[in-house]
Parts: sequence; structure tokens; C-alpha cells
Amino acid sequence: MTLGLRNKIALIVVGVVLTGIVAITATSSLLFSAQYADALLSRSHAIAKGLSIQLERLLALDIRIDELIGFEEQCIEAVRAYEGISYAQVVSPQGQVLFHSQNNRIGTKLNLPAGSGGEDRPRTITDNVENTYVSIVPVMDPSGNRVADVWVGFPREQIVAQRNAMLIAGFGVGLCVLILGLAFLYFTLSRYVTGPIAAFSRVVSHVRDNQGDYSVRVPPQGDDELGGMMQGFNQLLDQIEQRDRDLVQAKEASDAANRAKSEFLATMSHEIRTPMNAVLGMNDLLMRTELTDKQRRYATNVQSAGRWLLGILNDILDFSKVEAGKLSLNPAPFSLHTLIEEAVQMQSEMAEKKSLGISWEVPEEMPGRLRGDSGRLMQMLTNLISNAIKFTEQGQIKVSVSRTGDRMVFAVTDTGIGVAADIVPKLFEPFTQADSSTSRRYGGTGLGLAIVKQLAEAMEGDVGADSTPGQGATFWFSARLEVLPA
Amino acid sequence: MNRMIRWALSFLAILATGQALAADAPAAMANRPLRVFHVMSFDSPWRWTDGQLEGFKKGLGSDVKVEYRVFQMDVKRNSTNEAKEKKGQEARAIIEEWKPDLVYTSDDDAQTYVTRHYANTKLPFVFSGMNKTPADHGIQGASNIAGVLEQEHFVETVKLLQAVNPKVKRLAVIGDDAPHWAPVIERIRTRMAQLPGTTLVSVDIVKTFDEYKAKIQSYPQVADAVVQLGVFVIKDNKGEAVKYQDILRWTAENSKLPDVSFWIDRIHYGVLTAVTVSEREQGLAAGKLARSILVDKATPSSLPMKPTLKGTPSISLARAKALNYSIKSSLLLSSEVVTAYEWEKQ
Repeated sequence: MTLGLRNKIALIVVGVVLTGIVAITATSSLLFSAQYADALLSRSHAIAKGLSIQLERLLALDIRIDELIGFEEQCIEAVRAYEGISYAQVVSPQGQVLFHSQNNRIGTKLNLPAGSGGEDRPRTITDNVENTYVSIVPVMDPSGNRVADVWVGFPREQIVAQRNAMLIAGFGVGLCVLILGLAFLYFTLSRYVTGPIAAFSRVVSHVRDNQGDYSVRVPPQGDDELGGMMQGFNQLLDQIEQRDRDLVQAKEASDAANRAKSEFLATMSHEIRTPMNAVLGMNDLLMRTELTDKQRRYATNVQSAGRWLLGILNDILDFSKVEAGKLSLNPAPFSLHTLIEEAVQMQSEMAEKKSLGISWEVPEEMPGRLRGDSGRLMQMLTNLISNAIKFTEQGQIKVSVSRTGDRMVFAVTDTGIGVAADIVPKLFEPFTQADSSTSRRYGGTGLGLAIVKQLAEAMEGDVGADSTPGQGATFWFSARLEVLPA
Repeated sequence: MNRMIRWALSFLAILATGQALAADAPAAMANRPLRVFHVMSFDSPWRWTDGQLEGFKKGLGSDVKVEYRVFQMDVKRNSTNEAKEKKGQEARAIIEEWKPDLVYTSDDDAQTYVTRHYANTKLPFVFSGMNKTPADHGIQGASNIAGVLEQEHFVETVKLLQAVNPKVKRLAVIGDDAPHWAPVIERIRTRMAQLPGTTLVSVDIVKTFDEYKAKIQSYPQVADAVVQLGVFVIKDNKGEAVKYQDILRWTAENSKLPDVSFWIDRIHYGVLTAVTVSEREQGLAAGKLARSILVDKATPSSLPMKPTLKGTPSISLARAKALNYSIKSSLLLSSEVVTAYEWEKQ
């Protein structure tokens, strides 16, 4: 069971206060009992002393102790006058009860408890027979002889009863105070602590559960620390909300600028590519005419440079289309074998020029017909294969297909220069190559893999590379393609 | 002409001197102590009279400068009317000669032979110890007389006796023929109604000691206890006054009945018990009246004549032992206890 802050605080307070009540009540009761016992002893001693003085006054009248009559009235009066005194008696040195506050005890003989007799000084004893504390004061005749003792006793249980009464009263009052205090604490906590915290918590929960909604605020909570904190939090929300608005605006502006840029590039690429195609076409027509060797060489160079420039323009156009949100896929049924075979064939000439072996493999269990944008798939394969050829000086290049779940995985493995694992993610970012030396040595716009990544993601797939520098690499992409019946 | 002028100047000088002296007189008088003339009906030293004077001085206050002069009428010895009258004249002569500022008189004879003569004069009088009523003395309503009445604590005394001996039911009263006992006897008769179950079997006024003895010895047949009034003017068979101390001693040694009285002095001389009229309380109350007159300038007639109320239980332990009485501790503790006869102390 989880406890709220208010209940936790209340429990702690209850624990502390209860401990305090118990400690104070117990200590007070013990102290009170001791003081009460002392007070009763003092009182009983004073009463005994008073009775002794009265007896001595009578003895001073030349009356013997055994000639006195009616002194039990003084004993009775003493017991009646002082609460808590259980009896008063006058006892001869031999233990004979001469006078007693209870008439039926007069004339009886006491079994004198230890410490009760034979002393000419006041003393206190515990009478276990009567279960009392007893103050004893001697009575001296005019000659200075002890002729009797006055005993005044009070019950021990009285002290216990008083102590228990005090305990009960203490606990009772303490509990009442505790209950009232708890109620007050509950109210004040709710009013000044947990209420504001709950309001704060509600706002935090709202912000957490409603991503981007910073419209709520904590209600004003006063001028204390909590109020200051709430106010600060509200100001923080103001700032976040404002920043969020600024960010949204900035993003929108950025997106708009990006789109504008891409549109511009797409438009400009088209405007640039069209004359490029015209130049390449005219150059092609020129190469079909009779040309001198030098002219043919020149024309061939123009053709190569033009095609290279056109390739760059195509990449830029494709990338811009994607960024401009104008990339659209055209899914249609196609043959997987045919796609792979044609992709390899298109690049085989380039491979042969570098004496690189190039092969492809489609396992039998792979589906024969799929639905997807085969043109874009071809573009992606072509891009990976051409990169493999570019970065491999010797060895083999192999194109393979596999299946993972509902995705087809196309992989191109080479025996080229390889790439460090920490650089792989950067390769799929636009305008990024392994490093600047790669760019200088191998050329390229740095858009090819970025385009492959975008296209793969458009096809609900992913891209990646596994490589070790100097030991080749495998670049792959996946795509969700519908499997068609054969 | 010159002679006439000298006579005139002399006359004027004498006149001026006389006026100066007259102006100085009050001032001189204002500086001298107050003069209080005390006339006691009885004699001193005696506990009753000395106690009253002591109480009077205390009531007047030690801050008041007072010169006292005391006159004893000693009516125990001067018991005849003629003797009392002679003493009264002597006291009045002193008053005329000494001119006191106030006269304090104690007991009834002083009222009869002194105070009464000055009723409604300018000289203030304060009395105490008066058993008779002011009307009996002819001083009721006098403008210059205030005082404290003496009324015995009869009911309380009998109850005290019955606490000592619950069998006491029949009382016999005995006293001398002094006139001031008549109102006391009257009050006793009236207050018997407050003692249901107790009867007054006789009231005896005796003049001689033999008469007294006979009565005391006859009482056991008719009474359970004796109420002793005053026995100050009892004569022997030669006509001589018998000291009351001797009378009381004889009583203590011969009477078989318990007895009571109203004055502590009697307890010292063998009477068993009494709730006494305090002589000091009487004098104290009179002294306060005197202070009201002399210091606070109150008129005596504005001060009410009231008796003192405070009485002290007293017991003669010696007499109790002689009568074989064991007195309860509570009575002994709450009473003034006289352990021995006065004659045994001498």
C-alpha cells in the first residue's frame, strides 16, 4: 500500500508525538509517584508529630500515658481530616495499642515490624502486614522518657492508584491532544503542503502525458517556499512553451527553407540536366561521325565527363526529391531473379575493366515474384554495386538476397578497402564519405548511400554495413516487399 | 494725666499677657500625655482587675501617650454601702483635682459610686466588667458613657461540665449578696431553657461562711453540681470578711459535688470547670472604645454597649483528680488546664 505525502508526514508525527507522550507520561507518573509518596510520608509524619505534641502536652499536665482517656478521638480526627491516611494509633513500647482511629483495635497487641520499635527518633517503616507505609514519632514524657509511639500509616496501594490514575489521565489527555493535533496537522498539511504539491503533481502529470501541451499552470500557492517553487515552475513552463513555439516556428521555417531549397535544386537540376542530355546527345551523334583520333579522343572525354556530371545531377535530383517530399514509389510486380541479374549485368563491364569478379546469388527458397518499385530497387543495387567496384582494387564482388521476417535483404559484398565500424553510420548521411582523403581519391558526391537509406526507409526497411578496414565490406539494405504467388 | 496713662498701659499689658497665656494653653495641653483615671471596684493585685487594665492599655494602643492613675475601691473589704460611698467620694475628688481626659471604671460598684455621678457631663467614661445593665446603674443613654458589658457563658459552662460528667442534671447556684449578682441570676434562670434535661434546683444567697458551708454540704442530696457566683462579701461569725480564696479552698477540700464558675481565677482556687469570661478581652474592648473617643474623637453615646463573646474553657485538673474524674483528652487539649491549686503553688 502506497502512502501519500500527507499520510507519511502524519504517520511520522504520530510516531514522534506518541513516543513523546509515552515517555513524558511514564516519566511524569514515576516522578509524581515518588513525589506523592514523599508528600504522603511528610504529611503522615507531620500528623504523627502533631499527635505526639498533643500527647506530650497532656503528659506535661502530670497525667500518665495510661491515665489518658479519649485520645482515640484525636486519632480519628486526624484520619478524617487528612485524605489518604488509613490509620493513626498510639502504641506503647511493648506494642500495646493504647489508642487507635479504629475502636476495635484499641487494646490489641502488635507484632512490631522490623525497625518499628526501640528508637527515640522519628522514622518511617514499611508494614507488610498492613501493606502500608508508616511514620513513627516517639512520645516523650516531661522526664525525657519515651512512653509511647504515634504511628500514622497510609496504604501503599494509594500511591499505585494515584500513579495509575495519572498514567490514564496523561495518556487520555495525550491521545486527545494527539487526535486534535493530527486533525489540525491534516488540515494544515492539506492547505499548505500536500494541496499545493498535488496541484503541482497534476500539472507535471498533464505535461508528461500530453506531449507538447504546456498550457496548464499551477494555481498560485502563497508566498512561502512552495509558492516560490510553483511560481518558478510556472515560469519554467512559460519559457518552455515559448521556446517550443519558437522551435516549431524555426522548424517550420527550416522545413520550408529546406523544401524550397530542394524544390529549387530539383527544378535547377532539371534545368541543368536537360542541356546536359542535349550535350551528351550531340556528342554521341558527333562520335558517330568520322573523326580523327584526336577528335575521337576529345569527344570520348567529353562523353565520360558529361555522363559523370549527369550522374551527379541525377543523384542531386533524387536526393532533392526525397527532401522535398516528392519521392513516390511505384510498386508493381517484378521478378527477383531478373532484378538481380540485370543489376549485376549493368555493372559487369565496369567490373571487368578493373579485373574484378562479380557474381550474384538468389537462394531457391527466395520468392520468385514480388511487388515493389523495381526501378528504385535497381537504383539502390546499382549504387551499392558501383560503390563496391569503386572501392575494390582486386578480388570479387558478390550480390546476394536473403529474407528476414517480412523483409527482403539485399547485400553487396566486396573485397575492397573496407571501412571502420564507427564511420559506417556517417556514410549514410548526405554529403559524407569516410574521410576527406576518400573523397579526393575516389570522388563522388556523398549522396548515393544517403539516397539508398532514404529509399530503404521509404520501403519500410533499413540500411547497414558490416566491414573491417582492409578486409572488404558488405553493404546491405532491406525493404518490405509483398510476396506474390509464383 | 500721667498716672492715668500708666494705668491704661498696665491694663493693656495685663490683657495682652492673659491672651497670650490663653493662646498657649491649648498648645501646651496638646503636647502633654492623655490622662486616664482608672477606678477599679475591686483591688489589685488580682487577676481579674489586673487583666482588665492590661487589656485596656493594649486596646488603647501603645502609640498613644497616656498617663494612668489607678484607684482601688476594694469593695471586698469595703463591702458596706457606706464604705463604698466613701471610696466613691475619694475617687470623685481625684477626678476633680486631676482632671483626667477619660475615666475608665471596672465592675459594677465603680459605676454605682463614680460613673453614675458624671452621666451626661463632658467627661467621657468607659467601663468594663459590668454585670448589671446600664439602666440598672442609671447610665442608659448617657451622652458621655460607653462600655463593655460582662455576661457570663452559663450555657457553655454547664455543657462543659456535662462533658466531664454526663450525669450532671441538677444545678444549685450559690453566691454572696452583692447586688450585681441579681442580673446574673436572672440571666441564669432565663438561659436554663437552653439546657433541656437540666434543672435549676436552688439559688442560694448567703451572707456568712457557716451558711455557705451548710449549703454546700446539703447540696449532694438535691443537686448534682454547684454553680459558684461571687463569694467576696461573706463574713465569718464575727462579722469579719472571709477571703474568697479560703472559701473556695474549703469548698475544694470538702465539697463532694463538681462545681462551675465563670472566671479563671476561680479555677485556680479549686472550682472544677468554667467557660471563663476573659478579663483581658473585657479590658481590650474597653480600651478600643477609649481610643475611639480620645483619638478618633467619637462621641461615647455613639458606641454601642455590648458584651464580649469570647470565652475560654478551663478545667482544674487538681479538682478533677480530687473528684476522681478522668478528663477526656479532647477536653484537656481544648481547655486552659490548671494543674494545681493556687495555694499549693505558694
